Amino acid sequence: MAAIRRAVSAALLLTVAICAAPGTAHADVITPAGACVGSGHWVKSGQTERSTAHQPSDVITVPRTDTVQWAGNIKGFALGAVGPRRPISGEVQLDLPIGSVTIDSWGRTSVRYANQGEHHYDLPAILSGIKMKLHGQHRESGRVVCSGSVFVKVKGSNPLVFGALGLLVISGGMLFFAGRPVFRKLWAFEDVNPG
Amino acid sequence: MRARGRPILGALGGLLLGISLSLLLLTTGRVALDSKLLVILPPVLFVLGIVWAFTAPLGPRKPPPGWRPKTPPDSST
Repeated sequence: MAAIRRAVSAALLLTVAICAAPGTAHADVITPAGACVGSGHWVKSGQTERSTAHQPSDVITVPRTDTVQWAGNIKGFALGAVGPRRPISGEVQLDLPIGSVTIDSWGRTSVRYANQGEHHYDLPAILSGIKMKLHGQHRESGRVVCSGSVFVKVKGSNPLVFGALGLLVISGGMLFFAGRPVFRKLWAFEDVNPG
Repeated sequence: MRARGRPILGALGGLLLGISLSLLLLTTGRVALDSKLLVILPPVLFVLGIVWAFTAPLGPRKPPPGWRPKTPPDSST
């Protein structure tokens, strides 16, 4: 479970974090627009995503297995920029029908105002095809600097589809027989006058 | 004599139908993982399954041949 959580967290966090770098003027998954920027490049698939190239309602489809080269920064800071040490915190959460789960979080203090890295991930097949909404925010000195959300979908077909189809057929059969009338004898003359 | 369906089977069938529909909608990407529909469908279809069992127009609603109509007992005969 922890491995799955870590893998999901990695890919999804990267996608959200990755969605942040200068691009088109009107789109941005970040609020306030441009407060944080980021981008990511999937090495095997060659896909590149930027936060400023998407709206919060966009669905970003990512490979199930790949290595991502990601970069992110706070507005006005170039990669590698450092500054006064300050407390930072934040998290990336996966929205569920009821509530949400935190798939990654960070905290403590830092002098870095921009960062980059590379991460390999391998997601389980049961996540394929599922449209997941991720949201996250970053705080500095207790103040929310930027937040954002985006939908992510893992490429491929989900093996659970076949199970769901099987269950659909079984439940249809159950409902058919449930709807057939059952006759129950409440009383008959022979019941009280045998023979 | 009373005609009716099988409410427990209907409830289970409805619940399973709700779960399978939710699973299909989710795994095919038709609805997002945060959609309320995914948790609403199973209980709603659970209830509808019970209603279906009592009201479904499947099969005869009249008693099969050989069944006697309900008449009051007559001990004098």
